[in-house]
Amino acid sequence: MSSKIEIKTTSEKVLIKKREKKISLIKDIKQNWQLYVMVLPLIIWLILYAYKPMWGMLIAFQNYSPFKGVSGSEFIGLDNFKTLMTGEASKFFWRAFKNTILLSVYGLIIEFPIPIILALMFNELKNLMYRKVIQTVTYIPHFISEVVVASLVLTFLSLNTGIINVLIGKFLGLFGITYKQIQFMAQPKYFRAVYILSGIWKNVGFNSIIFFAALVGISPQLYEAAKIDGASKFKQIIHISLPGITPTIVIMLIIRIGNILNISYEKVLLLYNPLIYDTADILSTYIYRLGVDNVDYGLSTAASLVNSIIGFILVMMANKISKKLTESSLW
Amino acid sequence: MRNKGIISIILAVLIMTSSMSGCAAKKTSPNDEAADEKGVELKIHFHANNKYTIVDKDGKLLPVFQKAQEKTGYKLTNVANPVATNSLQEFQLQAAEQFPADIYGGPTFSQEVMKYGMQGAFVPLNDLIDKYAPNLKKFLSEHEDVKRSITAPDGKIYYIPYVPDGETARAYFIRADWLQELGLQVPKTVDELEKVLIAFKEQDPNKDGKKDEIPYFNDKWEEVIRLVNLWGARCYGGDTYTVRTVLDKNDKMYFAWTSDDFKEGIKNMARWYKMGLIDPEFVTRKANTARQTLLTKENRGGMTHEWIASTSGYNDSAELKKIAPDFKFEAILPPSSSKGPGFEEHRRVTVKPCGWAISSKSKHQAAAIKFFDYFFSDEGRILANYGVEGISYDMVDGKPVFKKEAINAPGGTNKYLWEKLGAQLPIGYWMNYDYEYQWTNEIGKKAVKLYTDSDVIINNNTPELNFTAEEKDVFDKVNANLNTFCDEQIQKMIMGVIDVDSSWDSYVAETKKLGVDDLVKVYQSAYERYKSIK
Amino acid sequence: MEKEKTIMQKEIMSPGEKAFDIVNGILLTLLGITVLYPFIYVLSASISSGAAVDAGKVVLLPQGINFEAYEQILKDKYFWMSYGNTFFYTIFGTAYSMLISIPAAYVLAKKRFRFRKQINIILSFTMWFNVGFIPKYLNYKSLGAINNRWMIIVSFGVQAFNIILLRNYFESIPQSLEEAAKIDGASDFQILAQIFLPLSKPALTTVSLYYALSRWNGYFWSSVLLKEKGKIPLQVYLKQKLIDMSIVSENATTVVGQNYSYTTLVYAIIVCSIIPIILIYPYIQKYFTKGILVGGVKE
Repeated sequence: MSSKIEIKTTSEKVLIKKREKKISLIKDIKQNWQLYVMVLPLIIWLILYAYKPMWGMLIAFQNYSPFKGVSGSEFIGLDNFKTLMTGEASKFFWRAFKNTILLSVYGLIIEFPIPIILALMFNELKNLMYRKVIQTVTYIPHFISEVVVASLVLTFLSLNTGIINVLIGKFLGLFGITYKQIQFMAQPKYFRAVYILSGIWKNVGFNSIIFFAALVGISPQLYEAAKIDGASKFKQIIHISLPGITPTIVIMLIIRIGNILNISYEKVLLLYNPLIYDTADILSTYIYRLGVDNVDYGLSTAASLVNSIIGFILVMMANKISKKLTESSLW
Repeated sequence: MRNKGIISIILAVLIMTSSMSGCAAKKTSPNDEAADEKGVELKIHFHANNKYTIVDKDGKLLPVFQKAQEKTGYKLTNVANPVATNSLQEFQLQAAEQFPADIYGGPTFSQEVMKYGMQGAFVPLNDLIDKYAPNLKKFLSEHEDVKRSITAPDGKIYYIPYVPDGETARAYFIRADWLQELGLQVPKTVDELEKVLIAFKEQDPNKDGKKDEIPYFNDKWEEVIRLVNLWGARCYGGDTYTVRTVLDKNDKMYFAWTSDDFKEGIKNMARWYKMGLIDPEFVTRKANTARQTLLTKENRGGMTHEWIASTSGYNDSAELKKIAPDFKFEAILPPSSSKGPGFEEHRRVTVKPCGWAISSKSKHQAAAIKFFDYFFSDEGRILANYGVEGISYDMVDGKPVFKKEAINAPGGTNKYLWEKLGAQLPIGYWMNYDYEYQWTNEIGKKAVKLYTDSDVIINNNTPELNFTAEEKDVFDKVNANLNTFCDEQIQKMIMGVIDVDSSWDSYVAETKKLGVDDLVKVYQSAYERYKSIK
Repeated sequence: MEKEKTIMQKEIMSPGEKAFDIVNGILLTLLGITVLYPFIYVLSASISSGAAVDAGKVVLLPQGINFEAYEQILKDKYFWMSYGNTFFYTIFGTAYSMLISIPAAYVLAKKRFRFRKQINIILSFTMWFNVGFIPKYLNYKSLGAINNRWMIIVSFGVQAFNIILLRNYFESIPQSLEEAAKIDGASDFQILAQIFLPLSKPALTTVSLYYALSRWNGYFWSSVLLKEKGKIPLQVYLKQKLIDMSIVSENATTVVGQNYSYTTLVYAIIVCSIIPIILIYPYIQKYFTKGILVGGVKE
């Protein structure tokens, strides 16, 4: 009674599975060869320009000298990280760390929704010519260099002649209140507001473009159907517009969360001063100051590695959550 | 017996001398002198002030370097990137390529040059100077402090520096027209000065009907803190604001910002700030705009402490004359205090952290040092300082005198010399103060004479010190963070955010925790080593 | 079609909707005026007298109107060369970037692509993990980017963020369209070109805009890798003038010409660099059209 069914061992099963996978891989490539061809240029570019220089991360673990190169420089393990994050002076590092996160989170809560709202408002404009003009006007400030904008901000906030103090004084004067001028940039509590508001001023128009593009992609028939059902403008926005651009919002949000530690130093450097380091000193400005009298590539690479790791972990978490709640995710 | 002894001695001497000459023969000098004939090409990577190389904007050698090429007989080729906008970064990139050119110079890179030099990137110049550079040899033997400043901890010299000339840097400038308007004398003591500043504040010398005058202001907040000098306290060690370890009367290093004198100075400054005698926005104002704003724009500024040449230039400003026709900004001596006579802390440094060096990859090291040496000859010194005869200066009674277009050049004489001639670029050369004197205006010239004649400028600045690897380690770990902490606390004290008396002890305790004592020790040991160099 | 729709909507607007429109319009106008200020300032300053600007006297309206700053830069052959270079880098750079990004985004949007998840991760990883300045430089050098215009185009073509945006958009295109085309025997190339591209105009426009802008603003690596004045883009030229500005700021008089200073020169260059951008948006506006469904396949 020998049965035709052959009993296989586990290792044989594994081998068979591997062979099946290989066959189906070859089949897959034959069937979908066009897809492989289309994605190849990207892969090549990534290997050559993004991954090939990644040996540079080793610098974080070395007492690096550009002259000696990575192969000639002394390997010091986690010393660079220790210098940054432990010891008496590390309280400046952690303060900068905290400030970076707080600035990002406030920015996220306050600044992130505004371009979306703006895109919605643009979408509702009936007069196309006017819409063109207004959109162009709002995205011009994005192109004025940070140096110019920072200088304008400092001028606005100055005493006596700064327009903000003048306007507040006039406004309060209407109610008979005498106003003692505030030196905004001398007090830590105002910095975050100044940074975020000036950021909105400069970037809100430009940042709305991507959301506007997504909005225009929503089928007009959906709106018409809703109108027929008697939905108000407000309801239309909530039930059609927003869901329509949710994938875009989600992706932008995930990327933004991943960039929580990546505030660049240029703008803050132009605005801050030691009086407000308590809120204004961020990771990139702290590291910049460390590098002024002492060029240490190992230290700065270590700092950027810390940035990258934390950022990527946040992205992975945000990605997981968004996969569960919505259908969009980074991967 | 005796014969044997003598013979063995003679034998020993013979053996020694033959083996020594054998050594000499083995020591391959990197270049035979025969190889350094005229026509040898020197590749020069010189990039300064984020902009300047040895060629002009069309790629031709600047006149100064053309002349140098003629006179030395070497062919000079520029290999620096004329388009790059960061000199120090370009230097670091060259490090990553192992410094392929012959000569490197330009940025403020002395610490980096010595660091790389000790790693083998640059040629030690001591022997080369001895053998091939008579002008340099003479100069260094006559300027011991320069020699000490450029000697690395391993005893070797790795670069030839830019050596400034002249003593003066900054001076106290005050509105002489306001003094006259209010019938006041030039203040000689700090108490008199206080009364004058109060008068500026209260009596409306700019006659606009408002008490909007700002008695004391400065372009940089770091400079404002130096006001502690007025009460006898030291503040900074030299040219930069990051060195706050200074020498006391007994030649010992100490940290200026925690001394008792400094505390008293800050207390007084807090008092002045409260009275409105110090610019209320001195911290938040955009850097380098105070002079323009408070003088040229608003005519509200009363007194400052600034570089002589540029500040006295405000007396000639047509734009300023429009709103303040009687404007006169003159220098006064540092007022004396209860601690003693007034002093000027900011002295021109003896050696700047720039210059040029020879890469160890170079096959023309003797030629390079001879090229360096040329600029320390009398003729070369004139070339580097004044430019080319007939173009930027004429010889009058055996002395170089700038032409009118150099003195009145738009953008200033310095820019004209850097851009059109290639003179005064931070190569390794010895500046001649006379060049600066020629384009300083009358008021500035008076200021210089005032300060140098009355001997108020201190002579114990913290010299350019070169740390060993261990010392540098301590410096790197402590200095930046210590300065950050001090800046924050002292600013808060001056502005009255925290009280000086009640916060001082915890402030000092924190500096100790941050390593200030280790920092001072490191400076002291580097200084001892500096003094011992022959 | 658009005009008809507008008329139709006008006919059935309720008073609530009218109010909404008015408030919307007013708010947007206010915003427009507020954010316009930096640009008005730069414009005013660029035609004002150098001395007035340097002394801080120009706030909104120009003072001592003159066009010397513009004269200076328009006379400078290097200005024109750098302007031309910027167009070169922008146009060819954007084309190159889109050529790589579009097919890649298409592939990554296809669920049937076997290595979808892996490549998405590899791609996203590069957004957070990149190396420092010196390793990057040595890499560019080894790949021939020193002083080479075309290699500048090639070396900076890909931004993961943009590919992800495109991919996202492609994912929202109904699967049914693709399936129908496949039944008709279309290849992936054809599907991409004839179905996806026409439907993705807003996304394609946005992404090419992002690529174009990063080329237009590109400054750092151009100043390090390029070695000739004739090859640099406008932003590097501008940065050189900014350095000039800081060099003279130490002097009492910062005016360099009859009526202009380096500050007004810088503002004039900024205006020149913004003008094409102002002009381009209305032109590409028409691509931000509401999507059209092809073939009437309903979801």
